[in-house]
Amino acid sequence: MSFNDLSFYPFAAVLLLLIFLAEHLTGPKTAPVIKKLLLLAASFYVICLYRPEFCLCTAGVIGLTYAGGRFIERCPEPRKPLAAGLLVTCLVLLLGYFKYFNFLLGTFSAVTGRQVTLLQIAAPVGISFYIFTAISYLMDVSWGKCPAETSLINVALLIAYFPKLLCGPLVRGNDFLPQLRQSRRMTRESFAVGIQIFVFGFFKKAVLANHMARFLDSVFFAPSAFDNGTLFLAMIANMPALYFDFSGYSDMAIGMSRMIGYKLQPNFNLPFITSNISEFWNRWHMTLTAWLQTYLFNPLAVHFRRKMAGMPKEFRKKHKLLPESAAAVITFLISGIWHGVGFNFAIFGLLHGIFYVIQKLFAQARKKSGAPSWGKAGRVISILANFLLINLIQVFFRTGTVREAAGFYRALFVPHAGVSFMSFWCIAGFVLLGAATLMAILRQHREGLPEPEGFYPVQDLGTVRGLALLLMCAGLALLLGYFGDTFFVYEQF
Amino acid sequence: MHSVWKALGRITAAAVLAFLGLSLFCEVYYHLPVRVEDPDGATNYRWAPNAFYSRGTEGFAWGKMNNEGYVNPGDYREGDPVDILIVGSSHMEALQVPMKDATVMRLSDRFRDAKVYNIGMSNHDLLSCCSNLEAALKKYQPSRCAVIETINIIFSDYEFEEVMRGRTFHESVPAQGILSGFARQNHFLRLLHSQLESYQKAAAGAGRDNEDGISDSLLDAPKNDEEVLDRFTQWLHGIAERAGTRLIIAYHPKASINADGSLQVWSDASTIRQFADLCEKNGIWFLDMSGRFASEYAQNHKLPYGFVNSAIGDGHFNTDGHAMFADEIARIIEKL
Repeated sequence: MSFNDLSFYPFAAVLLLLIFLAEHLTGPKTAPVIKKLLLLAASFYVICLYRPEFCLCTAGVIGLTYAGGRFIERCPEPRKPLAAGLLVTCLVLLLGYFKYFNFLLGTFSAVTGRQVTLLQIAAPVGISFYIFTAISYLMDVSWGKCPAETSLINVALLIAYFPKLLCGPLVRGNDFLPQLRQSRRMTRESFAVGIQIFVFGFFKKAVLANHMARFLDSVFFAPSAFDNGTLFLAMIANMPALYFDFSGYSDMAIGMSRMIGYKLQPNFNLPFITSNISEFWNRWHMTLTAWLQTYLFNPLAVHFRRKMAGMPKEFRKKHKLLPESAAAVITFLISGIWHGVGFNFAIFGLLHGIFYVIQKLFAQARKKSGAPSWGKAGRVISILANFLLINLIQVFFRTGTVREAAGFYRALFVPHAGVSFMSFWCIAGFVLLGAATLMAILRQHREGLPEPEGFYPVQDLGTVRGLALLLMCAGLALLLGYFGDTFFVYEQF
Repeated sequence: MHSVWKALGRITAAAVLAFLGLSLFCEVYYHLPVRVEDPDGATNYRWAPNAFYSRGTEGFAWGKMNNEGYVNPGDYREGDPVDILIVGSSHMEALQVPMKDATVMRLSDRFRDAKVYNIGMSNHDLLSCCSNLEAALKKYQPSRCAVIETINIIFSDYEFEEVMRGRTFHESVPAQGILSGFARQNHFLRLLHSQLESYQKAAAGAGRDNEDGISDSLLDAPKNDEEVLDRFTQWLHGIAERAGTRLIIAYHPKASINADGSLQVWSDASTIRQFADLCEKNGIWFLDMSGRFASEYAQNHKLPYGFVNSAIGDGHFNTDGHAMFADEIARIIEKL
C-alpha cells in the first residue's frame, strides 16, 4: 500500500483520527507513547501488506540498530570505529544479499559459463532506504554526533516509519530521533501545511508523472518505432517525469508527516536550474546526496588526501583535485549501484562521477586562465547543457539493461522515420516546471535570496479561499490524473 | 461552540465553491450528455437530442449531437432517405475527434450524392449492434448498405444463440431518481466516477477493457464455432435482405507496437478467415482492417488508435484511424 493506492486514504484517515484522539483523550505522558505505538503498528501493517515475512527483516534491522547503537556507545573510544564498522558491514551484507546476490550469481554464471540456480529472494520493501538510515545512525553514534537511543520504539520508528519507508526521504537519526523524543503533537497549523504539501505531491504524481510515464514507457519499450523528434522529447522528458514521480512521493511523505506532527527533510529543490552535476545533486534527492557526502564522499576524500600527503609536492600541486575526484567517482558509482541492480545503474553512476570530474577540471582550468565570467546568458546556456547531459545519462537509469540503453541511443542519434507523437502531458510538464522556476526566481528577487529556492504554495486554510483552493487542487488531481497501472519509480529500489 | 460553527460554515462554503469550480471546469473538459431511451430500438440508448459535448480526456473535441442524439453532420427527420447507415461502437460515435475527421463525415464527403447516417454509440459491441439491427434497418431503411463496425469478432456460442433468439445484450438507461439524475447531469461527478472505475479496474488487475468490452483475455479465446457462426451470419443476411439492403461488417483489431518496432495486430488470422469466409458465403461483405493498419504503419508510420493526451496506439480511433477506416469502407461501398 502506497500513496498511489486509494485504499491508503481511509487507512490514513483512521490513523490520523486515532492519533488525534490519543493526543486529546489521554494524559501528556501516555499520549506520545500511544501515538508512537500507533505509528509503529501502522508501519508494520503497511509492510505486512506487501509480504508478512518482510516484517522479520525490518524487525531484525531495528534490533541490530538499537542494540548496535547502545553497544557502540558503551565501547571505549578507540574501539568505536571498529564496532561501527562491523555493524555497518553486517547491514551492507544484508542489503547486498537481498538486492544483489542473484545479480552477482547470474553474472558469475554468465562469465564462467557455469550453471547456477538463482535463489528465491524478494527484497523487503524499503530496504535500501532503511539500511542507509540504520548505517547513518550507527555512524553518528560512533562519531559522537548523536547519542545512542534508549527507546526501542524510537529506533523502530526511525527505521520503519511508514510515510518515508517506501521511497524516502532518507531519514537520519540526528534529525528524526530528537523529534520523536520531543513528543510532538498534531497541531492545526502543521495539519494545514501537511495536507497542502500532500495534495501538491499527489497532483505531481497522479497528473504529471503517471501520464508522462505512459508516454515514456511506450517510447522506451520500442525506440526504433519512433522518429527522432519523439525520441528527443522522450529523452528530455525522462528526468522531469522522474522528478514529478519521486518528488511527488517525497512531498506526500513530507505532507503526511507534517499532518502527524513530524518534519522530514526536503528532498528536491528546483533541480533543473543547475549548471553542473555537482549543483544538480545538491538539489536532487538531497537526502541521499547529503548521506553519501557525509558517510562516503568525505571519509573517502580525507583518506585519499592522506594518501596524497606522502607524494612529492610537485605531484600534489599538479593533481590537486585527485583525492576529491577519486572520492566523487567512487561515491557516484556506489550511488548508481544503490539505485538498482544491473550494469546500467553502475554506468549511470559512473557517468555522473566522470562528468563531475570533467566539469571540476574545466572550472579549475577556467579559473587558472582568469577567463571572465560568462554572465547570465552563459549561465542559461550551461543550465540547458547540463539538463541535456543529465537526461542523456538518465537513459541508462530508465532502460532495463545496457543493451536497451544502447538501442535507445542508436535510435535517437541515427536519423530515421517513425511514429511521431508529441505527448501533451510532457509539454504540460515542461510548462509547469518552467512556471515553477519562474515563480522561484521572482520570489528570489522579491525576498533577496541568494539562490532561487523551491517552495510549496501553502495557503491559509483558515479562510474560505484557501480551503476552496485546496479542495479544487485535490479535485483537479483526481479528474486529470491517470489511475491505470501505475507505481512509484523508486518503489523498486 | 461559536467557532466550531464558524469553521463548519467556512468548510461548507469552500466545498461548495470548489464543487462549482470543478463542475465549471468539467463543462469544458468532460461534458457528456445524458443517455436517453431510444424509442425505435435502433440502439440500446442514445444521447440527449441536440446536446453539447466536449471531451479532453482522450483527444480534444467538442460538438453537438443531432436532433436524435447521435453524432452526425446533420439532423434526421422521419422518413428522410438514408443511403448508408453506420452502426457501431464509440469508435463510430467519434467523440474524440472533430466532426470533420470522423468516419461519417469522411464518407459523406466521399459520397456527396448519398446520405450517410451514423448511429454509432458507446458500449455497443457487435452483439448489441446485431440485436438492434432489424429495428435500425426498419427505421432508417438504408438503400445502399449498412456498415456494422466492430473491434471484436470472437463471441461464445451462447452469445450468438441468444442474439438470434432475440435477446439484447446491453446496459439499460440508468434510473431517473433525483440524486442519480443530478449525478448524471453533473460532469464533475461523472468524470470522478469514471476515474474511480478505471482505478478499480487497474487495481483488480483486469485486462484493460475498452468501451466496447474487448479484453486481452478474449483475444486468447478459441475461434468461433463454425456451425453457430454460419447460422448467425445467415440470420444477419436475412435481416438485411428483408430490409432490402447490403450488410458490411467492418472489423478493426487492436494494434500495438512490439519491442523491435514492428506492429502487432491483435487478431488471429484463422479466426478472421473463418469469419470472412462465412460472411462471404452468406452474402455479407467483410472488411478486415489488419492489412491496412500494417501497411499504414510500415509506409507512413501511422497508428489508428491513441491521442497525444492519452496512450500511444491505445484507445479509440484517432484522426488517422478514422481516415483509414473510412477509406476502406468507401472502397467496399464503391464495389457494391
